Amino acid sequence: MNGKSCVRCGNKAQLKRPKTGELICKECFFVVFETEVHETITSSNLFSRGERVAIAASGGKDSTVLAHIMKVLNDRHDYGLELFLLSIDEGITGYRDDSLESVKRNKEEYQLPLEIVSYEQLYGWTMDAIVAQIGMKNNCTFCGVFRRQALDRGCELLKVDKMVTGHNADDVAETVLMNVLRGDIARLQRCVAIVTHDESGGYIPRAKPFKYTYEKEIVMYAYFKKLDYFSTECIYSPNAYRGFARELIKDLERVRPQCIVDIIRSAETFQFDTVNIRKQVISRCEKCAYISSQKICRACVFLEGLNSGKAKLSVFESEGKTQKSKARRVEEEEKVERSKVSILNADW
Amino acid sequence: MLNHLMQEIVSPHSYRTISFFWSVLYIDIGAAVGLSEEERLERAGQVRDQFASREHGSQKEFYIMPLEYAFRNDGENCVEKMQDYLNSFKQLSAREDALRQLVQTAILNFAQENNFSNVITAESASNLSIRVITEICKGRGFNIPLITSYDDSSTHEGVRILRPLKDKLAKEIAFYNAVEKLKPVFIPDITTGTPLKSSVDRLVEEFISSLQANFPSTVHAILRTTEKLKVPNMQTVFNCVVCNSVLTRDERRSQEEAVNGLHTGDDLTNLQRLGKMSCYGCCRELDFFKSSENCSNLLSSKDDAPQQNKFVSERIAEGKTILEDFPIYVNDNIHKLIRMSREQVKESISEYLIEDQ
Repeated sequence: MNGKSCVRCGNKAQLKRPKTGELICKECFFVVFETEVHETITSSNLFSRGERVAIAASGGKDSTVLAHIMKVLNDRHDYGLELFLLSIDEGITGYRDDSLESVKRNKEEYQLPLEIVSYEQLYGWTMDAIVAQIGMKNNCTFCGVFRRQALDRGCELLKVDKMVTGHNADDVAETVLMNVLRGDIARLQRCVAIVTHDESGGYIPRAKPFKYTYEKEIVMYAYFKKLDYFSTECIYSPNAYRGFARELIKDLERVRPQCIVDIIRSAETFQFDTVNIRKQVISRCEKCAYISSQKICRACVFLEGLNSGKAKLSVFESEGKTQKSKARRVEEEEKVERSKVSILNADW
Repeated sequence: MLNHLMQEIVSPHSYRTISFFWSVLYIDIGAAVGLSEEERLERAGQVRDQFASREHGSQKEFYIMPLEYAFRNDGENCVEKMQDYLNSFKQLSAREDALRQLVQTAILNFAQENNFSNVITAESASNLSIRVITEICKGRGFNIPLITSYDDSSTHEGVRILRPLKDKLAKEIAFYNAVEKLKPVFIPDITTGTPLKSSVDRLVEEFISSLQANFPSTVHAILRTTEKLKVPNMQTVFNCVVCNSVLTRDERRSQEEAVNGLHTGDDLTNLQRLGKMSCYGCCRELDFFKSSENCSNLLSSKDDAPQQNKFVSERIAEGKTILEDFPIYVNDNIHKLIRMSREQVKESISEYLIEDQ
């Protein structure tokens, strides 16, 4: 790349843009990166003046760059937003405790108020304790359900109008492929929306300003801006099936970087037969009053499972009738295991 | 396998006899994949033998359509022209895409010209699921339901495509062939012998095959997903001029702009304009036309400022249009599009026009 010049300003090029392959200098990269996010925000009318906006901050690269850029763009283009950092403490020793430290440093650097909501305080369980009970399998299902609710509770505490998350183009493309592979048509329809919300106002709208931003460019931006972020993956096993999709996206990007944005484009142009999509009827959970499509929300079902020691069962039960047979099988397996334990105890 | 099943169906000894006339069409892609004249003849002969009726009395026609016919023009070497055209796509994925379109169009044009109402293909569930994911990766999500529909009531200008092996896995077909002692003829593809990670199609193929090996419901799950999508309306006459797919509303608007912006004597096809008349997916592929660096970036250039790659500027300086490099049907499609647009305008003002007596 030595001696090549930036396609925008003619100065010495310092990098090749992952999204377009253009040779560009560092300063021009900052400009195009920030401008593209700004354009996404304005063309999709993500915010209105005077809104209170929570930035979901995990301390990882995406959310750190998101916090930085929201602050920069809010000041530069005078969006008139009041920004907050919102973090969830899942209670994962050696992972979340360290990443929360970087969120706390971001709080100081950007001078933004920070709210931390913990699983322990909301549910009485940390992820460490949950994994100790249920093992590594399916623990992401618990974490996902709890996090979703915890973020909403955090938004309620902060009294914000919207929440932004650091989901990037790679994440969205990966989710599109996952939903095609799983045949989840309802999620396929939702996953490319730049703002997801519930029409009845059940939960705070969530926006993805990085929907068209490549992960590699986010890393590049964080690297050149020397942003302070935490870069370790969660210590509990990642979802294997999702891992396949992620790997394909990475391979595709190597062959043709435009694939990522083209996958998103494809999903945006899918036409859905409304007859085929079961419309969710949103009501309130009888136990905790959180929005739910069932009488009892999944978080409460899981909690009951955890508290009664039948947590594995609750994963299947919460997924509806079709999973009942699986649930029965798990129940039987658990019975066998319990009897084994009692036999062992008897031996003692 | 498909041939064998068809034979069974029309056979007088079969337990269920359906009578219809059918012919075999063999698209000879030999010139595109670098086979010599002898090799091409040999392959065609093998295919012909394969399809030769095992039942006496069946009057089945066998047609060979060399792919390069899409470039046939007086006094020009169409084999060379086709090879130049395919080689102009500087990325293997784009070249593969161009080849597939040539084959697809050759089949449909043959059927239309020879008054066939149906085309039966032997695409399996495995092929189709790979194709679905590939097309998603290439930005053609809108047209996916048309790839997988079983008996699609919508037709390509009177020709319907039927895929009776749609539910069968490649493995099942291989078993059937082994049991029935049927030996498929091997015809190399443009990616034969290329590394696994060399093109979008290859990557997706590898991905689906390995996923299917671990999760045996993968292929059918993908097809079930696409069946739940709405099939785009094919009744429109304004399609992509390159691949003939149905356009989304945005794509159609951009096409309309490109046609309306034309003035008499204009070069119909600078690459920019051709991109505007095409679907998103073809526009992406055109980015790689004579350019390996994707610097033309047709998709991001929404304004009218000519933003052409070096090749196109040279071509214009030579007084040639890039259209001369494309298959003839692209030219025909553009002219048809212009004609239809004028007719549409004429119809909208028809009540004010005074007809000659």
